Amino acid sequence: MQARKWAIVAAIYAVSGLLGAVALWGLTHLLSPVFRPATGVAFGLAIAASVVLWIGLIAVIHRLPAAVKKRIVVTATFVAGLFYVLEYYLPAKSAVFFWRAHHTNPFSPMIFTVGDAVSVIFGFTFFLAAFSLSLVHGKSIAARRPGYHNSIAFFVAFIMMAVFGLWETYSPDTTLIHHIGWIRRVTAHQVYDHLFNSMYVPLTATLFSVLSFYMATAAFRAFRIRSAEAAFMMVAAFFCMMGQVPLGMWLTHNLPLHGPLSHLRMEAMANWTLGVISMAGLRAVTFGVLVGGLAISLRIWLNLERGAFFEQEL
Amino acid sequence: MSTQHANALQAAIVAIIGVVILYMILSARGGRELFIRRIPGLAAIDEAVGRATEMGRPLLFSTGLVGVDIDTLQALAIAQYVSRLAARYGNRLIVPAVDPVIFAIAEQLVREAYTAEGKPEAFRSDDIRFLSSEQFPYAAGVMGIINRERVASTFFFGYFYAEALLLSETGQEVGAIQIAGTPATTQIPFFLASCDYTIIGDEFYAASAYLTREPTLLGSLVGQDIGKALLMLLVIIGTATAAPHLPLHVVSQWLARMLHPGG
Amino acid sequence: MEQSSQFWSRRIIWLLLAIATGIFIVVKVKAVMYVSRPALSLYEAVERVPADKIIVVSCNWEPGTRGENGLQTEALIRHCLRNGKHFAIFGWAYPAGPQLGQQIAERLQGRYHRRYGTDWVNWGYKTGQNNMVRAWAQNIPGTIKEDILHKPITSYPVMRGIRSARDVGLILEITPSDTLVTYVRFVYGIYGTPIGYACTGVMAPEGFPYLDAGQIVGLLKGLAGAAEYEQLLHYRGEALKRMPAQSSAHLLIIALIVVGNVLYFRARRRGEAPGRRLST
Repeated sequence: MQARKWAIVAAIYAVSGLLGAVALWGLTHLLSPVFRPATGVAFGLAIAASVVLWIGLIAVIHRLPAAVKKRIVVTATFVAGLFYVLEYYLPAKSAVFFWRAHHTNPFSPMIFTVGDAVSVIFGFTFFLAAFSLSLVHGKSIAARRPGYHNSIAFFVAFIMMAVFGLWETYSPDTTLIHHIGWIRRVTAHQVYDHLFNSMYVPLTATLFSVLSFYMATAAFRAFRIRSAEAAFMMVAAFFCMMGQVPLGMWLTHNLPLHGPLSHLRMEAMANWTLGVISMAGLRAVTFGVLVGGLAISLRIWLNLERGAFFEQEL
Repeated sequence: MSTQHANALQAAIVAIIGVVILYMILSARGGRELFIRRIPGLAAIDEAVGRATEMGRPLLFSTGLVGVDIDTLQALAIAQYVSRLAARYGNRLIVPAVDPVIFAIAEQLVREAYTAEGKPEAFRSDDIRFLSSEQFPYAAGVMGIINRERVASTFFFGYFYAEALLLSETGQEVGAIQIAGTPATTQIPFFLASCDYTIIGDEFYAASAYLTREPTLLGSLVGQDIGKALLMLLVIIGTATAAPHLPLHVVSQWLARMLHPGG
Repeated sequence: MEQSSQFWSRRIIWLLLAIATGIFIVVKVKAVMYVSRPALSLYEAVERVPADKIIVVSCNWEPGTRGENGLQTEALIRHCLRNGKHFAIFGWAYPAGPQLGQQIAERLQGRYHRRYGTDWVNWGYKTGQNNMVRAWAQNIPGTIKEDILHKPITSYPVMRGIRSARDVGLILEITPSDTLVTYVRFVYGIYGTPIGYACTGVMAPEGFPYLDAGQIVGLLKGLAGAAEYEQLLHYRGEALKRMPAQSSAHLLIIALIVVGNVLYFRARRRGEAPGRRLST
């Protein structure tokens, strides 16, 4: 009974897949005369019309019952995944699968358009980030919470980088302060340059440098030889660390560069550990991670995923 | 062999592994009992949340540095479990997000967890915050939160880069109990050094199955293991026939030609 | 008491590390690196690029990793400028990457009498990730359109005859993240364009499977990789100058591990609790 039920489900997926593939192909051919490259006023009108259309569509979807919304999401997920599956797993040319002229894969030319559409959808989240940050820090300032001066600093930095970044792009030579006596001329480019090279770059580089200090404390606290395996690991770590720095290379510099003894040079042992032992282990872990990724992708694509927000009402 | 489209062997491998995973899912749904070994890191989540509640200090859950991806979706599945526990005990859960979409999903997820546990008033929307989509600004923000809020337990699940050690060492400094899980192989050593429990590699993908014991997820997990065994078999066949003087060397050559991209 | 000892031990370790690395600002020590096979392979790959092809210097790094990726970029760009290899700076993972590459190239071009537009160009930062790289590999002028100065890239002499990834002699992917797989999948896998990988030290182990499979032609591992490349160029640059500090830091960390284990075994002999166990 269970097997028959799942055979029916598989058949429904297969038929929907076929219909979806045909619909995708047909839709592209119907819509391509409408969506042609535009410039000037036509481009502006096209953007405005798209925004109005999307807002309207989202408003309509928002009013639908939860079960219908869920069904739309599941169908859209399946069709989107199906597109990429068909594009990749069907060959570039096949007289068996493709009956059109030249027998070429019809989905391959659409891959860039679909990718651009995905980028546009993600672009909608651009303002969500700025809005969220402004809300959190704005509330902090309004309520005078402890540390609200940091929120003021956030707004100052945010506005300055945004303003001078745009100024640098569109009019870098704009004079902000004119040359008067001992006061030098200051342009928008110079201010942006100072903000980027003298503040942003050193600050991010400093935070990365803090990593080395934390590594030292972690090494002192955590690396304990509790077992034989840990002892092997320590020896390998010693070779890997010393084999990549001049001091370690100097320890074995008397050994010949060629011949059997050259393999005992510190840098040779380090490269062998990294390039053979470590590589094999990493490859094995990568296999597992990729199969795990395949399983999750399959579950999401076929609406089999459970837990978290996959079972929530929309 | 070009990577623009799959060849017959690639398609066959993915199809076989896919069918095996789907078959195991069906079997599990049909009532078959499947075994999953104990994963200490996941078993310690309850302990970590309980300890934080006893100390009266909040929890922190970081979903990694990648946007909407299967790793982050998996991390959010674990975040839902943690948020339900936090809500049940009436504790705060801080979720710093690196992506606006993740921020929106996390906020909804945590809010609904508190509502489901009957404590909607305990949810603080300010605890779910978007920090930055850049690596080190995000790390600096999380380090600041850990220090200022004196979090008692931290959870690092997702894909991390160099900031992994920054975050976990900061948690060590404030004495937090730390549980980490990441498929990022290069960051696992740093988490192992600084965290109390670390979930390695594809144990991360087993997390949602382990926590929920949902048949679909358990079946998928067993299917993954069978898939890995099939890949291992391919590796063994390829290695065993690799020597040029062997008569079956042509098998190894064929596998290399079919599976090696480029040119 | 335990918290106080932890507090002070951390600060002492940090002070020792600061001294171990900072002392080489005043004390000059000449470092000699033995060049590894992966770095030498990358050097030879750059040398082999023919005159009618362009090298893509893919600056997918951000200011935080300037200490490693910045010096790798400088060594690679110096090699291109010295040998008169045409190159294009490009980036699609971090917006600041191409700008940082531009600063390095502008600083070095005068020394080798090279000019922007004739010998090199900067395509700038492009959005779109995988999709953009796929389109770029198929049609470079159609995807890139303008350079970082907002001029059409086809107006530059260096871009003459460059249409697709088949006209690219080598891609130098310089990054602290996992962007290499995009080039392997969508460029090397389809067009066979050689790829070189320059990464931070912590990401280096992930590059070895690709090197072993022949999907990348060479690999630079962090600051040591940049120093090896400078050794090959016979140029004593910042990377080589910083290697003594790195040696000292590595030695200090090994010493700390030894001291930590000595204290651990002494505590174990006395029957004291060794602290919280780490578990996987």
